[in-house]
Amino acid sequence: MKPILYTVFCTLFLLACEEKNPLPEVDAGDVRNIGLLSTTEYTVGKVIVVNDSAVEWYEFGDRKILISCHAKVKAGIDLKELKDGAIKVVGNTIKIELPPSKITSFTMDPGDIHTEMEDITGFRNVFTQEDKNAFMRQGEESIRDELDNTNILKDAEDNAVAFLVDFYTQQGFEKVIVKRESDKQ
Amino acid sequence: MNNQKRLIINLVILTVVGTLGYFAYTWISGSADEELKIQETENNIQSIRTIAEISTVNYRDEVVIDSVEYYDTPANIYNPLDWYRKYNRDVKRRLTLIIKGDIRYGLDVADENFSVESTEDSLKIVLPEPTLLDVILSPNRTEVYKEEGTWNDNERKQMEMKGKKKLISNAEKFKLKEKARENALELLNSMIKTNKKISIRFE
Repeated sequence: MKPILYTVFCTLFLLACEEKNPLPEVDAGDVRNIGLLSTTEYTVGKVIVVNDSAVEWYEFGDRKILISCHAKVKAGIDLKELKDGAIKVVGNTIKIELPPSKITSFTMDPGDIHTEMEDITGFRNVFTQEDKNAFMRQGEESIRDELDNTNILKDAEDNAVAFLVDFYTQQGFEKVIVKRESDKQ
Repeated sequence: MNNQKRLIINLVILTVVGTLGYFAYTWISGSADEELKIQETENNIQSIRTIAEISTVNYRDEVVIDSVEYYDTPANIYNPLDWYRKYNRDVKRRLTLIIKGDIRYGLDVADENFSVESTEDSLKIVLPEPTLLDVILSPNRTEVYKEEGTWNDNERKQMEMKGKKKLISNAEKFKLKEKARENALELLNSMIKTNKKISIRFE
């Protein structure tokens, strides 16, 4: 009788403690009208290095991981920012006030991320997928921060100017003047 | 009566041991939960490409990809080692990802598929048909919602690729190519400054 009583009690106890963890609600798709002209694409590579040496008394062993990843970054201008007064025509001359260039898309495709080396010694836990995602997030932040030190926005602006000059020249304008944001400063 | 007393004492001991164990676990795991920082390493620019893409529609969505594996055999209720299995509904391992992404449609305006022909009284523009330009995903927009058991990179990658396909198929339901075409016409008409007769055609 006693083992059965124990078993029934413990089973009820365990079942009563069931964690309620439903899947999150998902937002419905959101469609927006945009007008982005992307003119430059940079592919940036990075090797993410994590060296997790034991620091606490109960930790025994080290953990190391190297993850390689690529980010595809596009830059250009927002054509929707070409306001009414931004394009002026005088005879055969057209003047355009170019909006500032910006990053138009940043993609780190899952197919471009690879764990190159993983080394775990002693009694340390393996890296979970959550750990790895946290490292990749930091890697993404690092790439985003470093973009300011590249010429991507300058290249995007130059290419946008070339595109617009070509576009309006083909329409029959003899002179196309593009005023850049940087010219105003 | 004696048996009941012993049962109560045993339960009290079990509760005290469990509580102490729980606090020890949260203390140890709490200190281990501090986020590890990656080392400073250089970013390498691997390629620079001149492109000409006009994105006219953006679709933003999020999908949940859930993968669950159950034990093949039912848990033995009399075996204390199987009790956690029972508690966990026989789930052997589970990985749930929430993937947010943007899908962009628009025109890939390369030299060969884009032309402008101007005469004295008309302007003819030939544009390429709208196409899928970008599927924007990144680790900052991917959340590991639940992870139980051990999962390897390849399995996670396959789930992410499944999420990517699901995002694209969700976008396709909205007939975004047609919308991209309408928006492209509207955008170009606002940019063209001429009194000539304008004709825009997609090929």
